[in-house]
Amino acid sequence: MPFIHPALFWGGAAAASVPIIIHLLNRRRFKVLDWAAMKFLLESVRKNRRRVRIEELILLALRCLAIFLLALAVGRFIGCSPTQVIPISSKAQMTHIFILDDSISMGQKVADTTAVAKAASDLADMLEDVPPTDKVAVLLTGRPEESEALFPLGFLSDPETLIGKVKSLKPSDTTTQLHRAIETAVEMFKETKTGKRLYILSDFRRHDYSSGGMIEDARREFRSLADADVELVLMNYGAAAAGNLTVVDIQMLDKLAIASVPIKVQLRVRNNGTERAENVTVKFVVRSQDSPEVALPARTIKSIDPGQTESAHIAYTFSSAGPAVIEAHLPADNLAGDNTAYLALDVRDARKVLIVDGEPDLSSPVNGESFFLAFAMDPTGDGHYGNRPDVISVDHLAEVNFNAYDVVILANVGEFPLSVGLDGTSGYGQLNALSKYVRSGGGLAIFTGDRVNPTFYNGPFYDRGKGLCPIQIDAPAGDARKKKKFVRFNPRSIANESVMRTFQGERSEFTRLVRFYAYTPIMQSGLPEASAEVGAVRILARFDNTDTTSQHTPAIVARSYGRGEIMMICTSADKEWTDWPKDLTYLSFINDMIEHLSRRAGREFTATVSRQIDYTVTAGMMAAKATLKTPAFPVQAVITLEGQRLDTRRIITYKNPRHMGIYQLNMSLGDEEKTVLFARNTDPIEGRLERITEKQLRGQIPMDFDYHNCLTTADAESATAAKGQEYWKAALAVMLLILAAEVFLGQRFGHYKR
Amino acid sequence: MAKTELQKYLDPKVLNKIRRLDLQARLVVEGFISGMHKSPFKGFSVEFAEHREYVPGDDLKHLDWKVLGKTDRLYIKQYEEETNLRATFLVDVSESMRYGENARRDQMSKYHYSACVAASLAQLLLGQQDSVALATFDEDLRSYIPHSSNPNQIKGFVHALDVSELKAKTSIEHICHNLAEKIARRGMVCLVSDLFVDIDGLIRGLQHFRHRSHEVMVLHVMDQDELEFPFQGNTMFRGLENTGRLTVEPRVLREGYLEALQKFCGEVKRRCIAAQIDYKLISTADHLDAALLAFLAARAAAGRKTGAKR
Repeated sequence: MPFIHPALFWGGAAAASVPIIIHLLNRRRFKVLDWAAMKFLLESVRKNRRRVRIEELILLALRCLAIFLLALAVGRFIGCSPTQVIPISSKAQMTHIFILDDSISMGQKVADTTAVAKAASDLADMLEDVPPTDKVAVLLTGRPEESEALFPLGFLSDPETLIGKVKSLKPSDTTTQLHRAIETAVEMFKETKTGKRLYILSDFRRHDYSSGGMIEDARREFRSLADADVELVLMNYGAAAAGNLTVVDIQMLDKLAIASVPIKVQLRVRNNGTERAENVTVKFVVRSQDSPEVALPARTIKSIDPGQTESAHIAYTFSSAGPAVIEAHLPADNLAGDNTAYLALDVRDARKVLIVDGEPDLSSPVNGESFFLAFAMDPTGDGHYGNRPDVISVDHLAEVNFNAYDVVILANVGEFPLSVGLDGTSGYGQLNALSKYVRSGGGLAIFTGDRVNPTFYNGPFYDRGKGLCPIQIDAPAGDARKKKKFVRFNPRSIANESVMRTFQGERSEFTRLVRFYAYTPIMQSGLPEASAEVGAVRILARFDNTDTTSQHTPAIVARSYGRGEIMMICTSADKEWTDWPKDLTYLSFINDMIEHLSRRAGREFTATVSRQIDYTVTAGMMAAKATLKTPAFPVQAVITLEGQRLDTRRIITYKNPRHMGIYQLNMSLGDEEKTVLFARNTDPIEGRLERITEKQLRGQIPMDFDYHNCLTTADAESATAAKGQEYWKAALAVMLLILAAEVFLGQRFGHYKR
Repeated sequence: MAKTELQKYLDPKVLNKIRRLDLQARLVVEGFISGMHKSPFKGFSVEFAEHREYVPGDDLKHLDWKVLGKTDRLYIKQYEEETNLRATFLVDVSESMRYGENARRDQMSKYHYSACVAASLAQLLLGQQDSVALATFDEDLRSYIPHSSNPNQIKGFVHALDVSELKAKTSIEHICHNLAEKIARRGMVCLVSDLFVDIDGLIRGLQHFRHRSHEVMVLHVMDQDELEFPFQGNTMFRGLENTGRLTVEPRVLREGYLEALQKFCGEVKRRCIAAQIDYKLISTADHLDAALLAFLAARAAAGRKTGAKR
């Protein structure tokens, strides 16, 4: 019903008969006059009877119309029903396929309802009009496959059920996948030869129809439609972009979420409205094993200009390890679907660091190469500081699985052991494994020392600039035994990177506190070139050794390697070559370094809706029963997932998560249980509500189509101000015009006294 | 009586308040004559017939100065032509003439006005020693008072008008034929009617009079309502003389009605002029001197014609 107050409208429409009743009553009420000059009167009547009757009918019609318009105005007419879109006259059997866009943006408020509800209501009206001899299919862009259709192609034997389903539709959390729905429709049309009509009920947003948008994929489908002689009807339900704030993303700024260490989370918000948004309150809620729900104090973003993105930050400390979720909620606006974001976290006990000690000292661990490193990371030895270092000697290097660690540190490692591969040839198997580990995102720190073998380092480890060792090294400089001469960090050489923050600042005295009695200088051949996979070598600090060389020798270098990062510190990690480990700056630098090098973990848990969920089961849980609870639980039952079993792995996959929210993957094996959380957020592009004009649409869609703008002008111009701005003003204006015309014509026709 | 006082009786609104027709007629004539001093209408012939007493309003040039010198009395020389005027009044007493009698207003009905005009003219003529006759008719001749110049003639005249019953239709043609046969000597015929008849029949009837060498004049009496059609609101028009009934919104028909009326009056006038008949359309709202002046103008014209013949 295109009225906000249908009862008022029907009442008013009934009142439109009042002029007719008055007219009829008036005909029964008259004065009586004895009249002599009947002759002339009769002649006048004879001549004017037709004219008088027509004039009376015109005036009567105008009066009825005026009251009818008043009824339209008080009934708050909000637009015409598009039911006439279905051709009535055709006798031949037809096939109607309806594609209803149920993407997020269709959840935009339009007057008192949403665009999708309005489209669904119109669709229900149209379905009522479809003759029982015609074939019908109803597809949703959120579920474009034929098997998922709301109504697969067939005769409409039970329209009531379908209409009920259509009317209860809610906007989905997916983006517009119109091309896939059209693809399905094209397939359906192949089976039919009769009159083919395709109706697309969508909001036709600009981002979908500009270059790079969905239209790029859909053009081919539209051409197939044109080739198949399908009549296309586009019904536009897109209202203008009113105030709408959209969550762009939510992410953890730290690389790892570690219990008892505060983590920083950033939420980015884009203003997709037309006016500046001020004092935007963002609510954060944390759910974890510690407590089911903790509401954090709301953050306020002072202002966001239209088209701009601003961020809000929170810090939170989880007290124990386990899966956790941080939710962010924006204030309610015209589009509800893009106001919430979920961040799934796997909070861990500690960061796992592997220290390969090239010079272990079993008798006195303090003298071991790794003692100060391990101490700096985990002074109490119980992991309470967020790091859990494992120290191994070079002898055990062959057995280690690097992937179990977030950072690997080589401390004074001479060389990697040679091993025999499966093909029988010998090679540096673990070096390759380490290289693969770093490439996949792991962090590697290399400390030099007296055990370092330059042949290995400049050979396979450097690998002509493509290896893990970022520089070619020379023989050690300085005399570590006498400890008479030393160099320091050159304070002006400290790079402007966060990992070096301990020493940054021209006036910092910290560089003056550290003495390096010996160091590993760089070979004069220069730095290796950067390639697509391996970044350029960055010199983060240099030694202050100008008395011996013309150029300051690099002390700390860094380079990105694949998705990972490598740092090389050209001195020892213990106090053999330097007194740095005894200095406070060592503590902070080492912690900054491992934070900097840490492999990012947990990013795969949070993604946009319809990105498939993959989880690689750890070795111990290979045989576990895996179940998935989707955000639609309990409407959607718990799903049991089998996954794909490879030799040593089992990958559990959930293909199409189409709801926004948290997916809970439970694995149980005997008494052991493990829960992993995944978050799926809506695509922020859907928050961009700019409309496309009919002309632009015709330019983009390579076929002819009928176009219906199914929202009233008032709706389309302003969704927020839609209340009270439908057709009533126009109806009142027309009514006044009609009343004016009635008075004018009444006078002209001689019905009123002049 | 002062001149202005007498003249007020020319106003039908004033006259309506007086009940007796003879009195009305006298007042009208006196009021009329008191305003006649400057009238261009002479109406006097050259052939002397007799003397009569001067009445106020007579032209002083017709005074017989010799008689005045001898007897000190005012006499007017009367001429043969004038004494020979034989006026016949045909007054329509059909039902349609009743219009206006019940109207809530101080106007006379068409019949009352017509009777008043006829009586006043008779009074005027009798006062000049002329002879008058009266015929009232509807579809038949209802009464006929033959010619006489006796001043008492007015009584019978007024009585006949007073007792007429207005209930039948109008039919002028055969009345005219009858009367034309009946009136032997030529004179003047004055038809006072609303003329709701067929034009052809009317003209044929009147032409019969013309054929008999009568001067004919038509006083077409219409009510002001009939001329203006000022009605509003749904009205049922009940036709007098059984012309049916009609319920209409009068404002809508006004234009068409007036057009039809004008066409009719224009046609009557045109045909009358063609037949050398004097025609005067009079509204019941007009002062009565309009009718009297029209009559005298017709008389003067007739006099000029006979004068010219001589």
